[in-house]
Amino acid sequence: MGPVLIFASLIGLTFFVPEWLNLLGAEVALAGVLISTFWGGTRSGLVGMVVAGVCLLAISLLTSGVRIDLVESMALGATGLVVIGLMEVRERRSRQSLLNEKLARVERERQEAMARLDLMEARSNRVELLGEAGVILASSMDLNSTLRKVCDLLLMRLSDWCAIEISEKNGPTLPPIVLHRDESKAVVTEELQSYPLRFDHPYGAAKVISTGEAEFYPSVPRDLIDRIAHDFRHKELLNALGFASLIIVPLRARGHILGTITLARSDPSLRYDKTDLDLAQEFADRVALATDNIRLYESQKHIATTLQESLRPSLVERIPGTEVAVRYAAAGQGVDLGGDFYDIFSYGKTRWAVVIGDVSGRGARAAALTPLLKYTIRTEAMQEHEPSRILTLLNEAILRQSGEDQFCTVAYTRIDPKKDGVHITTVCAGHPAPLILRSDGAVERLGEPGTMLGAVPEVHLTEHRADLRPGDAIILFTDGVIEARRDGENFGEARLYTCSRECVGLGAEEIADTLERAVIDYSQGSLTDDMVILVVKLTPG
Amino acid sequence: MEVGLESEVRGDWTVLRVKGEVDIYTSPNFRTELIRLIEQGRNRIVLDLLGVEFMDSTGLSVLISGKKRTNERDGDLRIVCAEGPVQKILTVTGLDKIFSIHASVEDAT
Repeated sequence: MGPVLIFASLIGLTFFVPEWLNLLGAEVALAGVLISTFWGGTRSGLVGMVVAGVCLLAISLLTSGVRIDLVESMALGATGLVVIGLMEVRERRSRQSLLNEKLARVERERQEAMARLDLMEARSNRVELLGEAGVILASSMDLNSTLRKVCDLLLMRLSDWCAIEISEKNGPTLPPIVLHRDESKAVVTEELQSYPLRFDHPYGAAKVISTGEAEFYPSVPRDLIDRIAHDFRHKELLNALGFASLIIVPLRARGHILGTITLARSDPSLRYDKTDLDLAQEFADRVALATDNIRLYESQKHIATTLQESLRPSLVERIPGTEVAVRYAAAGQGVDLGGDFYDIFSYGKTRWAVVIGDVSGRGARAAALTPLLKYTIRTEAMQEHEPSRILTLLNEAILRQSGEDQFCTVAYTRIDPKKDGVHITTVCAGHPAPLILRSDGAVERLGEPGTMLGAVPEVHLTEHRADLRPGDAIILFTDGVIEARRDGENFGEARLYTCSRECVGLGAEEIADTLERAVIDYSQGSLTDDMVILVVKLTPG
Repeated sequence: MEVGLESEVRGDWTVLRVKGEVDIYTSPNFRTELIRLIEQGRNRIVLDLLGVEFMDSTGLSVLISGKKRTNERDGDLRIVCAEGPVQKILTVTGLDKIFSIHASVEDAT
């Protein structure tokens, strides 16, 4: 822009100077001005001005002797100098403003980068915190230990002290968990755990549970603790924890509020902000869902174990003149119920039945069919005395009431008293045959294979009879015993017979123990299926 | 653990060859395949279980539902197996009297 202006002004000059101005001289001066301007323009500031000025003067002097008079050429040079000077000033100004602009842009970019960094840090904190929470929440089905680990994580990452209340307005309440980063405050936190929530005192966590809305105090007002505290001692304890900044978020899962998480910082220079509040809520949502799942699991487990207790009673009816022992070992855990069951009941005063069975499949479906079997057998036994008839009726009941792929195996033994011992009648419906361990160590198979129940309408069942004398025992079991596996090989009936033979002379409890241990040892502690071992031994005479 | 399933048509019969272990994990695949064949109208089925190393009660339930379905469609389900784990479980559960059991696919078809 500068050189163009100079060029234009010089053209103008050549028009207005008097006619005696020599054309050649003007052109030489013009060329000089242009060259010096370009040359000077490439240098910055004062240097450029001085160089351009000296050049102009030299040209003026050079040309003055020839054509133009000194004063005029001086005027020409001076004009050029002024123009260049003005141009330089403009240039400097624009250079300065450019520099300022650049500086401002750099500063803006720096700030943006810092903000991005903060955001990234917050995001990575969030990802890390939620990631670690995920690991903790997935690691255990024990609520209390899980929540304690959650608190430890919060202390490490988000708060100086924290509290978890599991409490519902009209529901279950657990003692609060309060933990402080500073271990010397353990006395305080421990005492605070003896202060359960009071819904008649609607401040702090109780208020959050009632409203479902988080409470957020970037800076805790002086009177807040007064309002939260139940009494003077409570207030002292709370003060000892230190409240500078406080977040209380609800634990929400499946439309319920299960409790709260309280986070606090005691250092006034580290206050919570909106990001912390959002993170705390997101964290709490995950904890809440896991808490709800654990509670659901616990209640299912409770139902399952109650059901299990009814299907596999730890106390069975005593049969006079006998010792009875039962062992049950589960392959699965918790709610993963197997379908093994057993029952002992009397017909009238002197006859007894010992039943053992296994329902196909596992879990709730198997558990649901088992009571049907158990009570159908008991009911039929009231009307029918023949074991094969009872199981035929059971077959019909299962076919009527259960799905097409549910069936079961049962070994049913009726015990009738007789002089000097008992008479037994056994029917096996798809169930491995029980065995008799004689008092002299001989082992006999009791029963013949018959059709499993619930599979087809026509079943083939054979009754097998035997007499037992005092000191003899019957050993009933489910397939988990003979199908216990090691290196692809089954425990098998042959091994069971050998083990049983070695139990000669032992009492019912010891026989059951020995056999159970043999099977568990064989499977190296990992059973593939549940197993029941039931021993009825006639008291030696 | 995997269960191998291959089927081929032999005259009126469809042979489903099962290999490996049939247990709570693999039975669902076995069941799906067997039911698929039956629903396609193949109501005369031979199950070749010679290559089955292990079968538990969930495997039995597949055999039983297969048998029920083919019978309902006036067909039949036959089993080919040799002395071994399958034979043993069929004997213990009394199912050897319900199914027609053969020593080879040639015998069964």
